[in-house]
Amino acid sequence: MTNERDLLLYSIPPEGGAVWAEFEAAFPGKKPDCPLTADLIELALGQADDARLREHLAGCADCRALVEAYRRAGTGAAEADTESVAEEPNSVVLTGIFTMLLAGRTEEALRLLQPYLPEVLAAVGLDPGLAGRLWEFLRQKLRSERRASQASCPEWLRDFAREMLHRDDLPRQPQPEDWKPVVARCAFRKVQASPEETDGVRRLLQTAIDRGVTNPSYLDFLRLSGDPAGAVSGEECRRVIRKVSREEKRVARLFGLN
Amino acid sequence: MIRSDLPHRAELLDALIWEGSDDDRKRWEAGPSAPAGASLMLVLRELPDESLAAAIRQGFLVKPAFEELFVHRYTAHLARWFYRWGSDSHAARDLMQQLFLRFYQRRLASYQAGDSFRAYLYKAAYHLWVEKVHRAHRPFPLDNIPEPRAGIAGPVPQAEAHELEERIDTALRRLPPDQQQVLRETMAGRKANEIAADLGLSKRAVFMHLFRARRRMEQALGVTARAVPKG
Repeated sequence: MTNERDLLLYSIPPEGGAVWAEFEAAFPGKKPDCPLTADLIELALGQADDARLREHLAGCADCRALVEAYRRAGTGAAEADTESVAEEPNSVVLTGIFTMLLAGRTEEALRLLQPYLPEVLAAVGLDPGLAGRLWEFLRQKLRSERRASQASCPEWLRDFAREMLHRDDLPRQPQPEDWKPVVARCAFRKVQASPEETDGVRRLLQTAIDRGVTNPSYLDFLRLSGDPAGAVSGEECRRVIRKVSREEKRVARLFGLN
Repeated sequence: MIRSDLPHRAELLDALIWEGSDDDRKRWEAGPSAPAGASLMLVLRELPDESLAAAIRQGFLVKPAFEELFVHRYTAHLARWFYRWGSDSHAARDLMQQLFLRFYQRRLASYQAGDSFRAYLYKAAYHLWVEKVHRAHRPFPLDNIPEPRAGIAGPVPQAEAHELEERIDTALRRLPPDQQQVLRETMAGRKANEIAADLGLSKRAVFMHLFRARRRMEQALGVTARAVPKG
């Protein structure tokens, strides 16, 4: 659930002077005799055709523009299901990290990112063992710059490589598709690190990581093939698969890869 | 209608939404005492967000409840959120219209009665922004945090955020005890049904306290919900 305090914080008019005033002024005003927005939406969607409404539209450019906008939005609306997005359980993470960055709460955002830093480093060809240094570097950088806009992961990594490792650039420049196995490994490792998991589950996950597994369902195959022999039951394995899948979605959302 | 009647009428309507049956609501709508037009809008203005959302889900007073909840109450909030996320005004208007359209068409089908409506709306708006603006441009979204606008050090710069936090705390301490307690519990991440159980209140009463607390806080902090008028 998004934090109530943050919601209040973000609802306070920005102290942006002319920029915010200009932004706000771009929203047309509603006059007292303008119809309900629901009526305009129904008209735009062809669900209503009220003579009084049309009469009003004839004399109100703002409402005409709105009807036209809703008509356009209605055409594209079938493509996206806004509400279904809102109810996905993992959305909390996405909202959380961006909210934190945008609010300048970089410490919390970095804490959320921390478990994934070794994999991110490996993906760009750097030693995962540098995660601690990267973490400290990011903290210092974001603290000193105090700008959420600096929270660009590839830029961070490039800066880290240049400033801390004295390299010209990153050893590897991953393409978007290269991040899928990274996401999978992040998810496996995150579940593996969970204190509630048994040693058997941890070994099973380690086997998956070592073998470069990218599909959580493959865990069951690994179990049946007897890798961490008999240590994980079928039911336990299905629970872990579900947990890894959830985690994978969470990480994918975090990196915007889904 | 006399303005002093408003709290009483709002209380009755709130009870009808949360505790009445569909038949009760239909009878009320057809009855002679049901307010309409501007009078109805005044009564709806006194209802918590969650009650209005519940009414829309029930198909009860959908159009006026939608107008109050989305257009009057949240257009300004949405504009500020989109601004802070880095949208320009055209994109913000488009996103807002898409949100309104989807919510109206679906009658808030995915909203869970009892959850904070504000948090639900914020999340929906944020995800629409991510889908339509943020992610549309680049594949790696941590690279995508928008550049701050000229003259503003960030969407909520730390110094400003710190000052605002202090203002929020001051305003919070000035709330009546019951409203303060409900808002503090909500800020601590607790849900309405948990708060209701602890305080021996109905969930409806919790929402009412929360609504009044938010309104007082917003007044104290200069958050004018109706500053941006039209959706």
